[in-house]
Amino acid sequence: MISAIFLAAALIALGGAVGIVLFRNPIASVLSLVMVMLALSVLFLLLSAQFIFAVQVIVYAGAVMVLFLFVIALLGPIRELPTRRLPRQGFLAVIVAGGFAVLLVSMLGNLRYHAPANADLSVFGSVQNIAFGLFTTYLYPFELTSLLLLVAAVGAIYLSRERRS
Amino acid sequence: MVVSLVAASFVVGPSRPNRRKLQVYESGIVPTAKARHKMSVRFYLTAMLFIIFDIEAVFFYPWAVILRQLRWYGLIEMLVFMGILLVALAHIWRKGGLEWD
Amino acid sequence: MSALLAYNGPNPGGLYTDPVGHWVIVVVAMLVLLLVLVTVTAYVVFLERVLIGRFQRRPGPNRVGPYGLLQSAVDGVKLLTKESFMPSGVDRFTYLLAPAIAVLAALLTWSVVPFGIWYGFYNWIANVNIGILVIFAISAMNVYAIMLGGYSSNSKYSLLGGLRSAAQLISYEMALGLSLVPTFIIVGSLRLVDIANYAVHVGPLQLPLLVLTPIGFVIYLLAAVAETNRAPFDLPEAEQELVGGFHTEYSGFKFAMFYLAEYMNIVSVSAVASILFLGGWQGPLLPPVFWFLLKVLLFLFFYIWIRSTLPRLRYDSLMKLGWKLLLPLAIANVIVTALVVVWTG
Repeated sequence: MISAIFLAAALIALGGAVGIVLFRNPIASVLSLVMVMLALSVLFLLLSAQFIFAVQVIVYAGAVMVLFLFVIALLGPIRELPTRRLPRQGFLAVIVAGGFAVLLVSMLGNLRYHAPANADLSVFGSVQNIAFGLFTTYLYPFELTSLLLLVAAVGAIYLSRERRS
Repeated sequence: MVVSLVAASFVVGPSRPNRRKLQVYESGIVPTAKARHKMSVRFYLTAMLFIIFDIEAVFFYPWAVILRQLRWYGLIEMLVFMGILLVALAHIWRKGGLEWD
Repeated sequence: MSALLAYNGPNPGGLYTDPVGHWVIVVVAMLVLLLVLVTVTAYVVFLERVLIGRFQRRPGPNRVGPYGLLQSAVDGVKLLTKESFMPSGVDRFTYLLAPAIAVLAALLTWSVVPFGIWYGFYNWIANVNIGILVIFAISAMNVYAIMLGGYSSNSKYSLLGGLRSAAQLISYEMALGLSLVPTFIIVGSLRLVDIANYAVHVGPLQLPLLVLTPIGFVIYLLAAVAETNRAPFDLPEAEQELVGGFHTEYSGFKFAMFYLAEYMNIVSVSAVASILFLGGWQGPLLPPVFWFLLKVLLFLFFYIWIRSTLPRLRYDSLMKLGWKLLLPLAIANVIVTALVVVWTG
């Protein structure tokens, strides 16, 4: 049962990822990305990470993707045109993709996956558990997030002001 | 179920399309220009600010749940976080990012 | 997965813990719930028409069936047999997807809303550790229904209505989310059942959570009206300026699906409000299901009442209200509540 759900979610995620690149219509690409996000949230759920599941849907599918839709509406109905290609683009693409693949394999090849020792899965991914980690062990990253958000706010204001004038 | 509803409406309902009917509605006037033109940058700004405060809210939920255990420690760390975001809100406000006219 | 669907109620004959029996229960419960929900929603539409009729000193629908009770059913059949055409130039896939998302999101919300049926028996489909967050997550999908409906219709009114509506939804979603943080601080849980069971003891009295979170309650009510696109926040479908907003180009049953979803969402936010602030199915003497329905009806009445009383807001005042009043107020509310809770321990 679990592995069937995993397989379905993983396939949807991969299919969506391919869709993002292949669709010519930007709306269709965004919808593919939403599919990827939702499929990933299901994967989190399978890992008993309930809170992360909800956050994944609320923030990524609910907020970031909506921003993408707004930007598309902002830019108007410009269908992606077959633009001029870079010289030797196919060749370069193969090199970059190959390099990335080598990097991934060398990084992840030796990993051994195992369930965390003596973890009680009924509380493992719960809000309480995440909260204790977030607000004690990982306090500094959490506080730094606020600075990141501040920068984003200031940036958004200046970007939109420049367009208006 | 949802899919069957849409399908049912196609099967059950009559279908007598004609060119006039299929035209988009523009208060009885023949449509002019394309519908999908550029939209105000306001919408972009709103969505961007929404992301920022949505992430803030998402951090609030786990914090709220364990505040009784963290006590002053939890309160102070969230006040720092919130303070920085209130600076962001004040800045946006002053720069007129919340005006809609 | 098992943690998500954990059930901790009565367990006759081990039925709930049996892997197959568990799924049978879930599926049956979902089907029954679906039936009940659609019926209830139809009658909310009827209730609204009757009440608005009364507010405007006219009888409202009273022809079909006794007291007009079959009006909604007849309307449903009528909409189903209407021609359901697709205007030219629409983006076919997204055009059909939008109403489907709307109904799906409205229905899915109910998979995590617990409600008491009888003493000690509630908790139908999923009693989730993060119940309220799941509701937020699902209702966030409504933005897609509206955006896609507006965008795919190839009409200026639809596009503008869809964008406006989406901006309104996301603006009030924040106020809505933050307005509930004080409740979470006080209860210390995001589980809806825990929140409903939380009672404030004042002497011999057991009062609902509302007495501790009045500001959150007001913000929630306002934001929820805006979230469901209801008057006086029904800018997206302001017919005088935008015809029908994002569903201008929808006909027949596809329109009915948007309509159904809207009223189902009204019932959901009423139910969630009664759980979060009025203790859900808690109440003396009468059985839980009665109290729950009574409280939900109270909110529904409030919704219909303000619709027929208040004029529609202008768009800039709507956004101003959301960003400049409700958002700062909600944050201040969180800070004050946190201070009091930490101070008093």
